[in-house]
Amino acid sequence: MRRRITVPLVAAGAVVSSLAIAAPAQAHGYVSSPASRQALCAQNRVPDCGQIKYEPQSVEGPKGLRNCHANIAHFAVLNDDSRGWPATSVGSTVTFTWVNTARHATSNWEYYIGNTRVAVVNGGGQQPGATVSHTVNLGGFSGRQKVLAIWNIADTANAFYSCIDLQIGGGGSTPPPTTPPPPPPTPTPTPTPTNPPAGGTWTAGRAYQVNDQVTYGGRSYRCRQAHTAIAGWEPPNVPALWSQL
Amino acid sequence: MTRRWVLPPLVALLLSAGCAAGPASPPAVSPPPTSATSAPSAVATAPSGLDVLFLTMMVAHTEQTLEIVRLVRDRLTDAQLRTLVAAIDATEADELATMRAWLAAASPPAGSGRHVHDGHGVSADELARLRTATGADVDRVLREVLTAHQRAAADLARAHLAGGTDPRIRDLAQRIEQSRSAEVRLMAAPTAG
Repeated sequence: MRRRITVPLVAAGAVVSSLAIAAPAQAHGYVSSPASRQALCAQNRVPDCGQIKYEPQSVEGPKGLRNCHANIAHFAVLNDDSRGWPATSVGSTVTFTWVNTARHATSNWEYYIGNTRVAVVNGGGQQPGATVSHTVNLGGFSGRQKVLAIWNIADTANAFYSCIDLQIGGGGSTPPPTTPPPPPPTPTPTPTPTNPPAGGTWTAGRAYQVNDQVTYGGRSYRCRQAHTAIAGWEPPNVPALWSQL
Repeated sequence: MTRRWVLPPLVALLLSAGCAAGPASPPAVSPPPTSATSAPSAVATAPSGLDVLFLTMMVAHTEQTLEIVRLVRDRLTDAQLRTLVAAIDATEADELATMRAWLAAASPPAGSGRHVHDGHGVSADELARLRTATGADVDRVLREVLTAHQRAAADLARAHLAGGTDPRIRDLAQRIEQSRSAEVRLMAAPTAG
């Protein structure tokens, strides 16, 4: 896939990268799952999308639009149905997740298929969380459909737009991600604030003191800083807490 | 192809806005040494736009975690909470250095990722409450503010697991999702000490 990057783009590369960093300061949100068109561009799953791949969260326009690109000319690719957008196979119930890079006070979220508003979720004028998920029943629809998801902001005249291509009735209710799903999070046992035995295998839930020694993945580690072990803090992943012997 | 012509004014605008925040100073925490052994692997995979967006958001979020815990760490009374907060401080300082290094490799001109100041922020009101709390209230306010903050980090990481492409960054997201969720559970647990 990287062959696609041609010479003209290389010249623009430096400034585009800067944009990628600066953009979130003034932007906003997009549907991450099932993957919206801008997410597919930003994942490089759909090539040659232009600037949107660096700022999938920036499809902002006046409220009331019914297209995928919020009338922004350089995002017009999003409204081009001929681009071969891969559709996510879903059942009749779909959970849409928004990633919000700025948490604007929300009027509501709307979901359209064609001219039919299939769902509306009231935002109550409140700030949403960093992510927001809505489960929508699409029972009246089947086959390939284009969902327009709209985030209407309470304190501006604007809204954010994401189009999601679905294949309804094609399978389970959870869209399969392109990459293998992560293993389920390891439940952390209730912490036992008792002294662990000297040595032994690293165990989530144990309270370790400085100089305690454990083994993990066939290697030995010494505790550098007292803490209760939790998933995600395995010794090789947190050099602040463990030094390898 | 016409879209390319839109870029120059936008770039100028964003760059000037971004750089007005201050000189591009190097991150306070020095990134891991970019030795000959580590550099090639960093170049081998190119983060996607979604990866860079996640890193940018998580850098800002992690900076705020450090701000939160450093505001209160010397005034906490519960011993276990103190220990947890100190470990969060240490582990997230490392993660922040790693993420800044990855961002810098992905986008050298503005790699510090310091231009994001809004978004998920802990609010000014919450920071004020952390500053002014006294006695046992310090523990209570910290649990409340940090729980919401770490939950948001876990949510962002979980969302990235569905769409992220770079394996290193997915792995980090996985660990963020796990550790922040576990921290929230630890903060909710009745204090045994």
